[in-house]
Order: sequence, then structure tokens, then C-alpha cells
Amino acid sequence: MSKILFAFTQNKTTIRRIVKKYAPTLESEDLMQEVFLRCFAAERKNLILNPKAFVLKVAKNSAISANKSLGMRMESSIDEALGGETMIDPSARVDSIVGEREKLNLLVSALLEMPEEHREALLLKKVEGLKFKQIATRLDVSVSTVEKRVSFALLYCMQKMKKMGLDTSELNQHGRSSTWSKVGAYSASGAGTKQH
Amino acid sequence: MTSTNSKIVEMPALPELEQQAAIWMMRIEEGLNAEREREFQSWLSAKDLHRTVFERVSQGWLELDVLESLNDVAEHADIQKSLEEVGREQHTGFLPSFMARALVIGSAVAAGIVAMVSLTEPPSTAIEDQYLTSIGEQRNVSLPDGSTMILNTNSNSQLHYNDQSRTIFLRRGQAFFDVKKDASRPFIVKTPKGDVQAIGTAFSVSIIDDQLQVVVQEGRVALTPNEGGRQVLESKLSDSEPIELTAGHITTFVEFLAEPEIVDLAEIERQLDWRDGVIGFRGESLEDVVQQISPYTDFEIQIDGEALKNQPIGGYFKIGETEALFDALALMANVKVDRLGPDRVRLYRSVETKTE
Repeated sequence: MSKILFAFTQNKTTIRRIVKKYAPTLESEDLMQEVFLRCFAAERKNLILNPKAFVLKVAKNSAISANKSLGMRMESSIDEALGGETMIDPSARVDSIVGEREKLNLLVSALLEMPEEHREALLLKKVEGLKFKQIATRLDVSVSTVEKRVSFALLYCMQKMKKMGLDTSELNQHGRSSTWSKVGAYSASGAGTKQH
Repeated sequence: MTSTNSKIVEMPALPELEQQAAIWMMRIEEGLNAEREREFQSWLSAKDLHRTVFERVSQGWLELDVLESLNDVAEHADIQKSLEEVGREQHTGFLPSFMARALVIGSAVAAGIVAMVSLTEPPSTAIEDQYLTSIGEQRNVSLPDGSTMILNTNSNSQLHYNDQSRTIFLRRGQAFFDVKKDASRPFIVKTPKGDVQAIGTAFSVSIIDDQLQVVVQEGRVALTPNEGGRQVLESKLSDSEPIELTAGHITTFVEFLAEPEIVDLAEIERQLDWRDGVIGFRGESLEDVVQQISPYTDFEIQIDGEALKNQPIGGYFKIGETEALFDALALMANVKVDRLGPDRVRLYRSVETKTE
């Protein structure tokens, strides 16, 4: 994780240049975010020997294919405009306000802000789908430590979503102001205790 | 024993409440036992605010499911392409994309990398993947052809699919296969002891401590032992003919292939109980039970006293829940559990309970 993040931050200017070169009409910041997300996801599954080369390659390939699909999307939206009716799934409306990908980006940025041990525990749970017991074995900590770390990560992400106005529940009138700092305090006291 | 001192008595201010709710969410995720369930219900009904906060937290927990899509992001064609290109440009040697992909979730796999390098021979259209499980872990894998593989504890398997064949290398451990028929592409499980070919079949193969075992639940399989494996059945077989096993067969061999044993379907089912994450016992001795669960746990379990070793045990062991087994033994069989270390326990019976 850190290697990719490092390579990405170190080469931001180059990445931006690549993205602009291969997808000149697209919003480069969005595309860069996508590039980072892809690298972040890839690093979890792959052994990346040369992070810099990899990040630049992903930037190039993503920009090329985004540019290509932009062309296709424009055609299809013209088709839609001519053809009239399109199906609207009412259940998809919440998500269309906040795109799934946007939510994912936001969560990943929240994950990057928290300590690695919390991030890792949450990712093993939600991405790999492991049980806490298995996570505990893998990280060599107790199950209750895993529970604390994941619940910290959860509250942190919720806080972030709320901040960005992505909170889908309407129940947030309770004490929303104080929670942020308290979540931080929680990380220091509760989740930091390692029991073996 | 696990300490159960987390009785929540006081009614704290909100942030703590969120933490409590989140911790409950975690416990629920993992499954509550009856006692915890009651504890949770009383926590929930203690105040309206508890319910409100809990609902919000569980909503947030569901929101995080979107993280699962990182798996798809990682599989994106642009990434695979980038991995290949970067690999090709590297002088240190081409790291094929399948290998890169095969390095599932980091840490546990490191040892596997070295082993795999020696068998690289990637044809361009082939699909290759490696699946591993740690001790006490099981994985349900959907294979590219619609077949399924359930990988048991502490196993190592590698997938190799191409136009001509579907091959699984089972290097260690146990796997159950439910195979989709495809006459043009045989489905073969290769082990260090021999090959097992399926013909539209449900069967399990295990290779543990150099011992190959095949359990056939449905259909037919053809077993081709490696050199030395066919000696026992030599008289009955022409040289290159594989041994056919049909539903209800269990065959095991270490040095020599044993005569395939035919058992009833209930026994087959029991042999395959592990697929559901449980192992059933019907009066086996505690010593047997401990031996049978040992592949699923990091615990080294020592039993003190002959009477206790021979204690018959009935019931189900949930894979990965060794602590629950200790609890059950303590409760049902009056067994004391002595922690000798983080991974070592001693089971014994205190003197006053039995005449010893």
C-alpha cells in the first residue's frame, strides 16, 4: 500500500501530464483519482516490483481506455436522446446522487487517513471477506483487538461520509459535532491496546 | 476461557454509545451466542437512543460493503495490461500476470511465490490462479467453467485452465469439487501421489502428510496413481489403466494403494461434513476428536488421563471455533481447560469429580 501511495505522490505531476496527454478532454483530477484507486486495489492483490513504472502504466492505460469509452458514451447518449425513453430504476436513485465509485473513492481516502492497522483490519473484513478470527490470526492479535480496530475504522468512515454529506441515514441529529474528535480519542485508548 | 466481563451497566454519553454500537455490530457480524444475544437485546432496549444509534451504525456498516468492489477494480483489464507491460519491460525477468494475480492477499503467500517460479510455463490463453487457506480457514471458489471448489483448512491449490484441459494442482490439504460437465476439457486434480480425473462428478481429494485420499460422492472418477502407488492392485490392473471409482468409494493410499473401500452414503456425507464448516462426531473418543480437529486449529491440545482420552464425544465441531469446543467440553464433559501458553492447552478432569 504505502509503496504505491508513495510512488503516486512522488510522481503526481508526471501522472497528470500522462493523463492529459492520453485523455485531453476528460477531467484530469477525476481520472487521477481513478488511477490511484486502481493502483491501490491492484497493490492489495499483486506483487508490484516497480511501483513507479506500474503507476505510470496504469495512468496511461486508464487514460487511453477512458478516452475510448468517452467516445462510446457520447454516441450512446446521443442514441438515448434520439430514442427518447430510458429506463429509470427508482432504487438506483440514491446511488445516482452519489455514485458508487465516488463513495468508494471517499472511503479509500478515509482509509488512507487512518492508521494502517485499522485500515488493514477493515479491508480484510470487507474486501477479502474474512472472519474476525481469521483476521486475528493473520495480524497476530486477539479477536477483540480486531473488533476494536474494525469498529474504529467503521466510525471513522461514517464520520467522513457524514462530513461529505454522503450520510444516507436521516438519524444523524444526535451529537454529530462531538463524535469526530471522540473517534480519534477512541483510537488512542481502545484500539491501541494489543493483547496477546 | 474467554472473559465475559463486558456487562454494560451505565448509560454513557453519545460517542461512547457509538463505540458500543459499533462493537455490537462487530459481534453480530461474527455471530452471537445465546448469552451475548440476550446481552445485546437488553442493551438495545435499555434506551431508545441505543436503538437509534445502533441503526445508524449498522447502516454505516452496510455502506462499507462498497469496498468489496475493490476486488473488481483490481481485476480491471487496464490493470492486468499494466502489470504485463511493466513485467515485460523488466530485465529481471518477466513476472507473468497470472503469477502476479496469484499472489492473493499478501503476507501468507510469500512462501508460495518461490515455489511457483519454477513451474512457469504460461500459454497466453491459459487461466492460472493460486488459492491458499490458512489453518482453520476454508474457501469457496467458483471456477471459471462453473465448477466449484471448496478448499479446506491449510491447503494449497493451483488452477490451470486452458482450451484442452482443466487442471487443479492440489499440493497440500483437501478440496471438494463439484464439476461441470465439459467433454472437450477433462477436469483433472493432480497431486504429488497421483491424478484424479472427474467425469461430471462431486468428489473430494486430499493430500495430507503424503497420504492421498479420494472420496466420491456422485458420478465417477478415474484415479491414476503415480509410480509405486499401484502395487497393491497390480494383479487386477493392466499397466496404464486408471482405477475407476464410483459414488460411495473412499480410497486412501500412502505407500501403496489400498483396496477402495465402499461405504454408505451417510458415511460419505459425514466424510464431507467439513464443506459446511463443521465436523461431526458420533461417540469417537476425545483423543480421536482432538486428532481430527488438529488440522483446523493452531492449538496444541494435550489430554491428561486415560479415562478422559477415551471419553466418547458426540456433536459438531465448528471449524475455526476451537474455543467453543473447549467451552462445550467444560460444560458437557466436566473437562477443565488449562492454558499452558497462547497456543497450548491441557485438558484434564479434576480429581473430585471422578474416582481416579
